[in-house]
Amino acid sequence: MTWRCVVASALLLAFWAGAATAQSSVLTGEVTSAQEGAMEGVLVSAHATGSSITVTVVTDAHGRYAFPADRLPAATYTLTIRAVGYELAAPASAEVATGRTATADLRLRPATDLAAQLTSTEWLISMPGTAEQKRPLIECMSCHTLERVARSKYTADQLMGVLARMENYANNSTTQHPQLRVAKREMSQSKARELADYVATINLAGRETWTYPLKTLPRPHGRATRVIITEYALPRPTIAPHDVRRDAQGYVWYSNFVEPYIGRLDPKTGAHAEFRYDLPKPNFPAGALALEPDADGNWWLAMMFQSGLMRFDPRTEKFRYFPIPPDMMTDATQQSLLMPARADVDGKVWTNDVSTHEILRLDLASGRYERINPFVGMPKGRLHSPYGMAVDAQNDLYFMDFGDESIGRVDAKTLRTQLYPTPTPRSRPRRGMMDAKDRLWFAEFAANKVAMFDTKREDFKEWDAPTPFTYPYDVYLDRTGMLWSAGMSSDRVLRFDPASGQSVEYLLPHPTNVRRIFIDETTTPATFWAGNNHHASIVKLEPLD
Amino acid sequence: MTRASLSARLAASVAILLAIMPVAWAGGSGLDEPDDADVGTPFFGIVKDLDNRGRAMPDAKVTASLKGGNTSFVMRADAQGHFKFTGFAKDVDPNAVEIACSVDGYKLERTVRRKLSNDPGAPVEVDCLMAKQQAAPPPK
Repeated sequence: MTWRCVVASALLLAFWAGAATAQSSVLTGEVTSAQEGAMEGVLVSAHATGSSITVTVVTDAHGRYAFPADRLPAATYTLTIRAVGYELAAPASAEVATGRTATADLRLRPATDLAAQLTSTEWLISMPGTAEQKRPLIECMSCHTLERVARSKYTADQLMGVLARMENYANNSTTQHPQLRVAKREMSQSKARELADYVATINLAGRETWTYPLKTLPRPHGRATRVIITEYALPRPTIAPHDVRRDAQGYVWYSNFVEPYIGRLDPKTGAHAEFRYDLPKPNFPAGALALEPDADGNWWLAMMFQSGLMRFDPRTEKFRYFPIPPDMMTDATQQSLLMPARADVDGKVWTNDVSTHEILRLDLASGRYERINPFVGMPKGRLHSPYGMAVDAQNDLYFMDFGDESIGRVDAKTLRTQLYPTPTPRSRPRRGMMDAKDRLWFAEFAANKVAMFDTKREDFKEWDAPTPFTYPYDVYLDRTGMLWSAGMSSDRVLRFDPASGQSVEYLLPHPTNVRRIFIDETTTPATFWAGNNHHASIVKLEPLD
Repeated sequence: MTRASLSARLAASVAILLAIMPVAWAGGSGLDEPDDADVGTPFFGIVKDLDNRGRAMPDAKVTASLKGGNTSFVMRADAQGHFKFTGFAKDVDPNAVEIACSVDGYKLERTVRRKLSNDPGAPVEVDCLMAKQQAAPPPK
């Protein structure tokens, strides 16, 4: 065979491979509207009755969408769309059968209720007011979107009572499953009054509609349309997945923020399993926040108001509880984060106590906790809160001071603490990860930035999130150097190249409150995973380039 | 020190102090973000290269810590060699706050400390004077 034959064969193979890909779509169609004609960036979702799985693709520049054959088994599918400002002109469905391509063209019309389609980010862009006036609203998104705030009819005086009530819900509350704190919290009356006065100017108190135009973000365009999103509905609407991680076997595990379970999803089949633990403090809010693995393949849960840490062995399916001792326990004791990743080095697991703003360290051999107060001598007027945690190879701790603006380092041997203020004041660093070069990548929640702290050089780099008011919760650097991020407000996933500054934002099909993110690097390109904390689903996002 | 150099020093100190004030006194706005009412003595200064006629040293590492304490703040001097620090509480004795600086290839020769006035909480200027480290003699 001559080299010409080799090249010709390769070209032919490539042609057939391309043709096969094009032909392997099992459901295609065009999305149009009277206003725009063919529409790019419309999310089209297919859901078969009785299935827990919804698959979404996005229309291209010609308004066309295509579901690959391996994503939709033969069934009848209900089709829905997401395109802000639009809705389906009529209910849509499609019969998918093996071996042929079904077609369903979709016609859109202007939405009858635009406000119901806005993300919290779009509400914040729309609302008049200063950044300082809007800043306290980011706390609301822990439990619900800002649509609820904007649609409320409370006057400023009535809002004072509402805020006092909200202040005493536990962080691990959702609208489906609110939980009250046992230890009451007192809010600052002057700050509550400022917020109440502001909210009464942007809600529906004494008026039929909003006094400001509702602004929307652009639909996905170009690269942002080249993606497949799969949502796995969990079996109860109250399940609140917080942290999500994939294990070496391909199972996806999650912490349940409001119920005493650790959950497991098999993405191949959609099969779901839960493992229940006994509540150490039955009269306190249930649920765990952080889920982290140790070097032995165990999962660890930070038990929030149940206090202490829980270890789960997935081989034996047994839990072991590490309680906080009585002399360190109050009604406000709260372990939200933990870091067991290098407990193999020295037998120590890091965690926090939100109520005292301290770091705790568990000694696995004795079950004892040590307290480390990194904020001795700090002004009482500043709120500190050790939150996201990462460790280096020596099990030295790096923590994010979510209450304020610093990255902290606690030396594992001496327990001496160094605090590194971020270049942006009041940035509220939230969660992140350590890469193989000992660089800490983290989200600056309140600053709307993503950032990197080089632990060797002891300096920072910061990058603005491309869209305002997106409030990144977490970041993850993949092996190709792409930085991923998402949060609670925008229903968008950011894929960002720190080297070039180029980014793409993928829109998710439904309102999605994202906390901890996980990037599966066994696929090419990498696959994004997260929980939808308020809507009981696990989300998988696969870029196509 | 001449009257002119004293005036220049005072003007520079006031300029740096004005620059740090918004940061030091910015209040939080969240319900759980109390005001900075308890912020103590501000520190500021310049990192200088003694071997280069006192030229400012940008990007120097600056550490502020409490004597006998377990926590220190670590920050970087800016492009003009300036740093500022407002991290400790009002009830912390400013004399208990130690400022140190480090730059690769240099050692901290000494710090020069001045209180801008005798008022409680008055800003303290601390300049770090750095000198090149001598290369270690070759082993015999």
